[in-house]
Amino acid sequence: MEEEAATVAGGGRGEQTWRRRPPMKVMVAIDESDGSFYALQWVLDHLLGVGGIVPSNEPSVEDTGMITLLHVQQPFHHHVYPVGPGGGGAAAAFYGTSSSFQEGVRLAQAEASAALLARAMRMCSDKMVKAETLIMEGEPKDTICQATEQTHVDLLVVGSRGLGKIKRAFLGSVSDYCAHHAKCAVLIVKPSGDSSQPQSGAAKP
Amino acid sequence: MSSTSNLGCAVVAVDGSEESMYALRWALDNVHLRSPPADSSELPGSFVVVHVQSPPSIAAGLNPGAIPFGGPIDLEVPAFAAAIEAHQKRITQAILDHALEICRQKKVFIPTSFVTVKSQVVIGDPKDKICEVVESLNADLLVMGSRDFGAIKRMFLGSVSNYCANHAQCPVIIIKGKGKEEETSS
Repeated sequence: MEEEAATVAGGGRGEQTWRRRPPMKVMVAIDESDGSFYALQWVLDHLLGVGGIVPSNEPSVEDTGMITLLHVQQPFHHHVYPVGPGGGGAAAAFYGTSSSFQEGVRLAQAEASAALLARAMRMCSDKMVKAETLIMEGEPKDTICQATEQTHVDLLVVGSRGLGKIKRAFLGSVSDYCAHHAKCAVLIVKPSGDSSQPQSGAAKP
Repeated sequence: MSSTSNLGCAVVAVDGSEESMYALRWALDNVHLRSPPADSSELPGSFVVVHVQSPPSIAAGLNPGAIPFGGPIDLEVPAFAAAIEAHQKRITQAILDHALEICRQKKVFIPTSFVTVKSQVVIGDPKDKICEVVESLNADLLVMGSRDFGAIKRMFLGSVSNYCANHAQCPVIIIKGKGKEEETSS
C-alpha cells in the first residue's frame, strides 16, 4: 500500500527513492488504570504506519515493528507484626499460614496481570499489530525506565492519570518520572474528557 | 490497508536548541499525519512549527548592562525597543528558516506529500504560549525536545517540557537528545 502512495504522490521521483525506514520499537506501559489502555488505544489508532508498525497478516517480523506491552507488578510487601509477648502462640500460627497467604496473593496478582495483558493483546490483534508482552516486578517507575534501556525501545508510551500539581508532588507520578528519566522518546497520553477520539476541527466548547 | 492515522495537526515546538530541531526531524520521520485521498473533502494533516519569542521587556531585562542609563525596565526609549524587537525578529527568522529547511529536506522522503508544514510565531512565556497554541489549533499531538539530557545525569526535564507534558490538551511526545547525524543532507 505504501508503494502505491509513493507513486501517486511521488510524481516523477520514482518508487525507489522512498527508503523504508527501520521499524520502530514501541513500548507501552500497562497497568490497571484506564489511562494506560487509553494510551494503548491512541497508539494503535494514530501511530499505525509509524516507522514500520504496519498492520499485516504476514508472519515476517523484519519489516514490521513490534509493540511491547510492559506490565510491572508491584511486589506484595508482606509485613508481619508480632502482636506482643502474649501473642507468641498466635504469632506462630500466623507465620504458619503466612506462606500460603503469600502464595495466594501471588497467584491472584499473576492472574490479574495475565488478564490485563490479554486485554491489551486483544486490542493489538484487533488492529492486526504484532505485540509481545513483558511482565516485570518491582517499583513501576524504575522498572519501566530499566525496561526501556534493556530492550532498547525507541518510544515509551505511558498514560497519565491527570493528577493535579499537589498530588503529583506527593503521590509521585509514574508518567512524570518516566518522562524525566527514560533515555528514549516518551509519549504521554492524557485521557481526554470525551470518550470519542479527538478529531481535528471538532468544536470544543 | 493504508495507515489509518487520524492525526490532523501536529505541533512541534522549536526554540533554536539542537534538541528541538532533532525533535522536529524525528516528528517528520515518524509521525504520520492524516492524508486523505485526493477526492475527499477532508483537510490533510499539517505540521505546525511553533516558535515562542520572548517579549521585549524580558529581553531587555536580561541584558541590564546594555541599558546605559539603567532606567526602569519598561522601555521608554522607543528606538531601543525597536532595536530589541528587530534583533529578536532576526533570531526568530533564523530559527524558523532552519526549521523549514529541515522540513524541506525531509519532504523528499515523505511518500505522501500532501502533508503541509506551517509555521507560527507567538510572543510570550514559552510554557503558557505553547499550551495556548495547542488549544487554539485543536492539535492532536505536541512534539518537543528536551534539554539537559546527558549533560546532567539523572537530572530533570526542562521546565518547559515538563509544564507542557502536564498541561497540554493533547498527547505529548518528548524527544531526548540531539540525535546522531546519520542523515546526510543531500
